[in-house]
Amino acid sequence: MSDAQSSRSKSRQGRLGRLAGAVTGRVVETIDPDSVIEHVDVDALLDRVDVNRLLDRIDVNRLLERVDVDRLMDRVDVNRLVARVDLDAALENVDLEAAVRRAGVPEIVAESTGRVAGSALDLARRQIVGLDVVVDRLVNRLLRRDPEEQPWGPPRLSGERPA
Amino acid sequence: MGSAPAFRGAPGMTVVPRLRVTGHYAGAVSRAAGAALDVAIVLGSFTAGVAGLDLLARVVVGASLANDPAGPVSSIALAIWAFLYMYISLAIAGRTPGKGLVGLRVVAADGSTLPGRKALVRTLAFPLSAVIAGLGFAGIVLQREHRAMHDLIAGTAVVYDWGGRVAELPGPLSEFLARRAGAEYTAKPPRV
Repeated sequence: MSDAQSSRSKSRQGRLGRLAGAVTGRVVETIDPDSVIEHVDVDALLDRVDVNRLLDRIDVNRLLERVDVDRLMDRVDVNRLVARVDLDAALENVDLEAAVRRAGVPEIVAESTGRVAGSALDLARRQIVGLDVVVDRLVNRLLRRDPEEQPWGPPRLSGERPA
Repeated sequence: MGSAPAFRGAPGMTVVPRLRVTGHYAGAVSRAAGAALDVAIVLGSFTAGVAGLDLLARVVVGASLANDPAGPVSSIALAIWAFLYMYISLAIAGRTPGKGLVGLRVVAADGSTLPGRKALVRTLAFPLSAVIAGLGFAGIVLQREHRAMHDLIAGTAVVYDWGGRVAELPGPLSEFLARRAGAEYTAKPPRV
C-alpha cells in the first residue's frame, strides 16, 4: 500500500468514526432495549460462557463478607421452605439405627430400665424388711426382751449404731 | 438401726429419712421369702431338667423316664440338685438366687465373707434344722441374732445386703420408729 492510499484510508476511517459517534447516541436513545433482548438467544449466549472460568475469578470470601446474613434470613420464609421439603424422602437416606446407636440411646434405655426394675425390687424388699421389724418387735414384746440389748448385726458389719 | 442423717425439707417440716439396715441381721419374713423363692427355683429347675431329659431319652433311646419306678432315684436326684444349688451359690456369691432377690447375704458369724468350708457345713447342716417339725428354724424368730440351727452349727449369719444399694426400711415405718425413739431423733445434728 502506498502512502497516498494509506492516508486516504485513515481519513475515511476518521470520518466514519465521527459519523458513528454522532449517530450512536441517537440510535441508542431510539432503540427499545426489550426489542433488542428479544432478538438475543440467551441460551446460545450462555453456552458460550465458561462458567468454571468465571467462578475461578470470583473471590467467594469477599462475596460472603458483603452478604448481610441476618437480613437475608429475615427475608427467608422458613415455614414455606420446610413445607416444600419432603422429609420422608430425606429420612429414607438417613441410617437412623446407626444415629441412635451413636447417640448411646440403647445404653440409656438399658440403664433406665435396669434402674426402674431395681427400684421396683427395692420397694418390695423394703416392705419385707418392714415386716421383719414388726415381727421382731412383736417377739421382743412377747419375750419381754429389751430391744436396746439386741445386736444389730455381726461385729464387723454393725459399725453403725442407732441414732 | 442405722439411719441416714435427718434433714429439714419445707419450712417447719422435718423429713425423717429411711432407716438403713445394710449389714443387720435379717428377720424371719425375709428369710422365709428367700427360702420360698429358693424352693420354687429348685423345684422348677429340677422339673424342667427332668422333662428335658425325658424328652431326650425318648428321642435318643426310645424310653421314657416316667416309665421307670424311679421314686427314690428322683428324690435322691432332687436332693443332690438342691445340695449343689445351695452349696455352689453360697460358695461363689454368699447367697442363693432366692436370697439375692430378697436382698440377703450369708456371712461368717463375725461378719466376714463366707468361706467355702462354712458354706459346705451350712449346706450339710441345713436339713437338720428341718427335722423334728422344723424346730431348728425357730431360732430365726426367737434368737436375738436370727440364727437357725444350721447357722449356729456352721458359724454363719444372714444379713441384709442389697448389693450396690443401701438396704432401707419403708419411709412410714422409719418415721414411726423415729417417733418412738423420741423427739431427740430429729433434733440431733446430721451425722456425716
